[in-house]
Amino acid sequence: MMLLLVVIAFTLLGLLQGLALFRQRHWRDLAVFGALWGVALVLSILIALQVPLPRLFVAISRLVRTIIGGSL
Amino acid sequence: MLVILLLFGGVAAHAAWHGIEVIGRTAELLVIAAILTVILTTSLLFPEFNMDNLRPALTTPLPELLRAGHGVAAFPFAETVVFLFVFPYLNRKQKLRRSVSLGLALAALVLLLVSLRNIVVLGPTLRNITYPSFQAARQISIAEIITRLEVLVAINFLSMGFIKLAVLLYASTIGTAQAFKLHSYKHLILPFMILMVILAITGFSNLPENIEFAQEIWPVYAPFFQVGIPLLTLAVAAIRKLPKRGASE
Repeated sequence: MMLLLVVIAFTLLGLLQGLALFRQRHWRDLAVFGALWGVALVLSILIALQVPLPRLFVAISRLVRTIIGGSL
Repeated sequence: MLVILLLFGGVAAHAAWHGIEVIGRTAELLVIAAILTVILTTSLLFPEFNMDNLRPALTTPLPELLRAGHGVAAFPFAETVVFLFVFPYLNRKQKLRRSVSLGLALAALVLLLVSLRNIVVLGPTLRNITYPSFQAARQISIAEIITRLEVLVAINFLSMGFIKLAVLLYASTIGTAQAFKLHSYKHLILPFMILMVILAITGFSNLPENIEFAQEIWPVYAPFFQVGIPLLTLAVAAIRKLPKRGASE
């Protein structure tokens, strides 16, 4: 059900905004929009399928602790 | 949770879609309401004030004081760096310096008032409380009639969070649009909003993790973006001798 909602929402978003950009021949805009739309779609599908995603803030914490040397 | 995030993000996206003027005009109303709430809750908490909670004064060791000062600089004051994306769109740029100084001074004054109020009301228990302003407002009880005013603090959190989210969404989309030389930033708003919601869902697994990140990692991590990148941009602009004459507008 969740997956279906995600697919419908992203299809609507892609059709409404992507098609408008395509008609206006704004190729660069369409490429950036498509890239962001694609990343958001893949991540949303993974969340809908309850796939555990890597947590960005944990990675940042590890990076900072590595640089600072664990003195925090 | 997801529904709340989507609704909140949707409203912020709507504000960002209509541009900085709409965000600014909304902020005018909401900030005044927030300041009035702070004044009201502080006034009603007068009976709960215990000035002994301020003692011992000026005994904090210098390294700890500097660390705390840096923490406050990183969050919230240096976060105002995001307004650098907004400044080019101002109508009256000659008033910029005065407006920014006034805004920062007012924010510092209000935050100082809130911090002092929370210390004199809550005392040493403050260390163990996640949302001190919320907890302080819960102490308000005037003749057992005027109570439960913590809802005003909760509304403040939400309204100010909305302004912050709208400005961040606007700045991130307009920054991306400028970087890729796009015709408009507007079609990036919804994908960015969805990515923000995904980050909010997957970011932290619990509140202590969030607080640990905010207190220990953020003051080290954020200055790169708050000071490092703006200074680097300034250096590059100076080397390239920007803005070139006649191209500044």
